[in-house]
Amino acid sequence: MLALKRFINESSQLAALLIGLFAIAALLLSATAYWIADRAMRTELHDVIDADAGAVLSGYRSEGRAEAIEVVQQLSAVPGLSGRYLLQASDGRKLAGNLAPMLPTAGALEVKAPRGGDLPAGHRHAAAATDIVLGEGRFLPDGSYLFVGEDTRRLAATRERILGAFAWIIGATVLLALASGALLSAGFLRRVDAITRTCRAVMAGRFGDRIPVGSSQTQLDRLSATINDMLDRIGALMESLRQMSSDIAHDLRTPLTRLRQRLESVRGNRATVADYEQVVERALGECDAILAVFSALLRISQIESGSQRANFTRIALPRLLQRVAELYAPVVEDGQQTLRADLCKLLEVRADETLLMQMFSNLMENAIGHAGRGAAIRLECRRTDGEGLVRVIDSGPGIPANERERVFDRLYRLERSRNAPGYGLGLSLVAAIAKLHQYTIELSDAAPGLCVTIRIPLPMTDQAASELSSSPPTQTTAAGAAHARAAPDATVPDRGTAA
Amino acid sequence: MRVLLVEDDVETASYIAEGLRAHGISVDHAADGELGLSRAMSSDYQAIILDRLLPGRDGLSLLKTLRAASVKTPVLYLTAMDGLNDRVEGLEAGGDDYLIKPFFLVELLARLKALVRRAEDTQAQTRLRAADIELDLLHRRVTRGGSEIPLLPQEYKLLEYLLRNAGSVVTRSMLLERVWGIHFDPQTSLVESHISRLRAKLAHGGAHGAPTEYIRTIRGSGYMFVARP
Repeated sequence: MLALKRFINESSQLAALLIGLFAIAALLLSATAYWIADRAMRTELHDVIDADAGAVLSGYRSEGRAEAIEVVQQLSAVPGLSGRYLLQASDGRKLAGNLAPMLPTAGALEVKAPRGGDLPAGHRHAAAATDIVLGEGRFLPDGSYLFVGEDTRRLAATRERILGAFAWIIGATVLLALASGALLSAGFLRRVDAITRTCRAVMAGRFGDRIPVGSSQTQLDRLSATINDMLDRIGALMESLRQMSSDIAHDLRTPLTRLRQRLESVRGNRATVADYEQVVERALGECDAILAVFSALLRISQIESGSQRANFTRIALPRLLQRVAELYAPVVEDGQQTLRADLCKLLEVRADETLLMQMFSNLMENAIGHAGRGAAIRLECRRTDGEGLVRVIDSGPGIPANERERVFDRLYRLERSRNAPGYGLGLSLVAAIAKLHQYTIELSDAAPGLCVTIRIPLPMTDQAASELSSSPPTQTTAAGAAHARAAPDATVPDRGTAA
Repeated sequence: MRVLLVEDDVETASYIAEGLRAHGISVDHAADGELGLSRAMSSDYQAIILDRLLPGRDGLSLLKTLRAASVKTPVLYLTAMDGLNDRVEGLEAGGDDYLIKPFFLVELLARLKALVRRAEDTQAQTRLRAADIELDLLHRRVTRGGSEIPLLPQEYKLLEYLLRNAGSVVTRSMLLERVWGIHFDPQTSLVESHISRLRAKLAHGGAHGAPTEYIRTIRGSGYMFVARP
C-alpha cells in the first residue's frame, strides 16, 4: 500500500514537473508571438491613421478648409470602416466627422467613443458600449482641430482570437505533458520500481530474484542486466561461502569431536605420563590435520573469489613443468614408480606462477598417491592450434566414470582411498585454480589409469601462428589417451590456407 | 641474541617470549605499532618479529617507515594474514621472512636463527664447509674429503641451504620455500625423499667409503647438517 502511494506520489511529482515546464515553454512562446503580432497590428493601424490624416491635410493645403471638410465627410461615410474622424473649428464647433466634439489635444491620443451606428448587424446589441479609439490629433493652420483615429475593435478581436488560439495550444501542451508524464510513470518509473523491488527482495533473502530485462537496448535494460550479473556474481560468491561454511562445519566437526573424545578419555582414566604423552602427540596431529583442512578450504574460496588475477605474469610453461617433474622425481623413485616428461619447447602463458605450481604439484601428488607402487606416470605438454595441452597420465586404477565429476567437489574422496593420506581437497584446489585461469579440465580413462587433461586457451597471435607452423609434429600420445579428443592434424588445412 | 617482538595479543606474546627466552634469546615486547616503531628505531636488535594487524600502526606501515629510515634489522612477519598476496606484499615492504599463524615454536626459532645468520653473513663467501664436506660456490662443486660428489642442480641447492645453516635446525617448510620456492604443504614425502637422496650421495660419494650421517633428522622439527658427525 505504502509502495503504491509512493509510486503515485513520485509519478505525479514527475508529471507536475513536466506540465509546469511544458506550460512555461508554451507560455513564453505564446507571449512572444502575441507581442510581435500586437506590434505589427499597431504599426499597421498607425499607417492607416497616417494615410487618412495625410489625405485630409493635403486636401486642406491645396484647396482650403472646405476641401478638408469634404475629405473628412467622404472618409466618415465609407460604410464598415473602422476609421473615426473629427474636424472641429477653433471655437469647438464640429465641422465634419463621426465623432463628438472633444477637447483639442495634439499628438497621439486614446479616446473613448460611443459605438457608432455603422456597425455590422451582429454587433448591434452592443450599441450602448463604447469603443476605444487610437488616433492622432493636430491643429490645422487656421486653428481648427483634426483628429484621425481607428477604433480598436478589430485589434481587440484579433487579439482575442490570438489569445484563444494560444489558450488552445497551451491546453494541448499541458495535455501532452500529462500524457507523457503518465507514459513515463508507466514505463520508466515502474521499471525503476521493479529494480528497487528486486534489490529489496534480494536484501530480504530471496536471492533467486532477478530484474526483468526488456529486449530493447535502453540504458535501463543495460542497468538491469548489469545488476542481474552482479546479483549472479554475488550469488556465486555466497554459494561458495555457504559451501565453505558447511564444509567446515561438517568436516571439521568430526575431527574436533574425535580430538575432544581423546582428551576426555585420558582425563577420566588414571593415565600414566606415557599415556598422556601419547594422547598429546595424537591430539597435536589431529590439530594439524584440522588446520590443514581449514587453510586449504580458505585458500580455495580465496582463489574462487577471483581477486588473484592481479598477479598474472608471463610464464614459460614447459620450464615450470620441468621444475615440477624434478621436484617429484625422488618421490616417484621412492615409490618404485617411473616418471616421464614429454614437454614441448615453447608454450608461454599468462598465469599466477605460485598457483600454477601448486596446481601441477597437486596433480602430480594425486597421480603418485593414487596410482600405487610401480606405476608409470607421464607429464606431457604440447601446443595445438590456439590451445595448450598439459596431461598428467598415470597407470593406476583410475577413477570410475560415474565418479569423475565428483572428485572436484570439496572433501570428496573415492571410497577406496578413504584411508589414504590427504583431505580430499587437492583436486578442488586444482579445479579452482584452473577456473581462475579459464582452463578446462577433463578426466578420462587412460586404460588403465587416469588421464587428466588441462586445456589452456591461447590467444592466437601472428607470432604464435608462425611458431606453430614451424614446430615439429606433436609427439604421439599413448594409445590409452587416444580417446581424448585433441586431433591436431584436423586443423592443418586451416593453417595451410592462412599461410 | 636480542629481538623485538611486536605483537598485540598478550597470550601469543608471552608464549613466544617465554619460548625464545628458554633458548637464551632476550625479548623486548611492544604491544602496538607506535611503540614497536619507536623501539625498533631507538634500539639495536638482531631481529624483529612483527605482527601485521596491530593497533595504532599496522605492521606493514611500521616496516615501511623503518626501511625508509634505513633501519636494516631483519624482520620476520608472524601473522594470521595468509592471503595469496599477503606474503608478496609483506616481503616487498622490506620483510625478510613470513611465517603464518598458527605456528610451531620450533619453526619460529629455526627461522629466526636462519634470519640472523643470513644478516650476519656480510662478506660474500666462495666456499661453504662443514665436517669434511666442502661446497665451492664459484665452481658449483661439492667435495667430500677432497673427492668430488656429483650432484643434480636441486640437490646442490638443497645442500647449499643446509650448509649455510649448518649446526642449526632447518624446517621442512623452510626448505620448501627456500630451495624449491613452494609455499604450500605437499601431501607426499617430498622433502624426505630429496633429503634421503642427498644423504645417500654424500655418504657413498666420498673416497673414504664409510657411511657418515651428515644430515640429522630432528624429530618434530626438521633437519640439521651436523658440523661434527
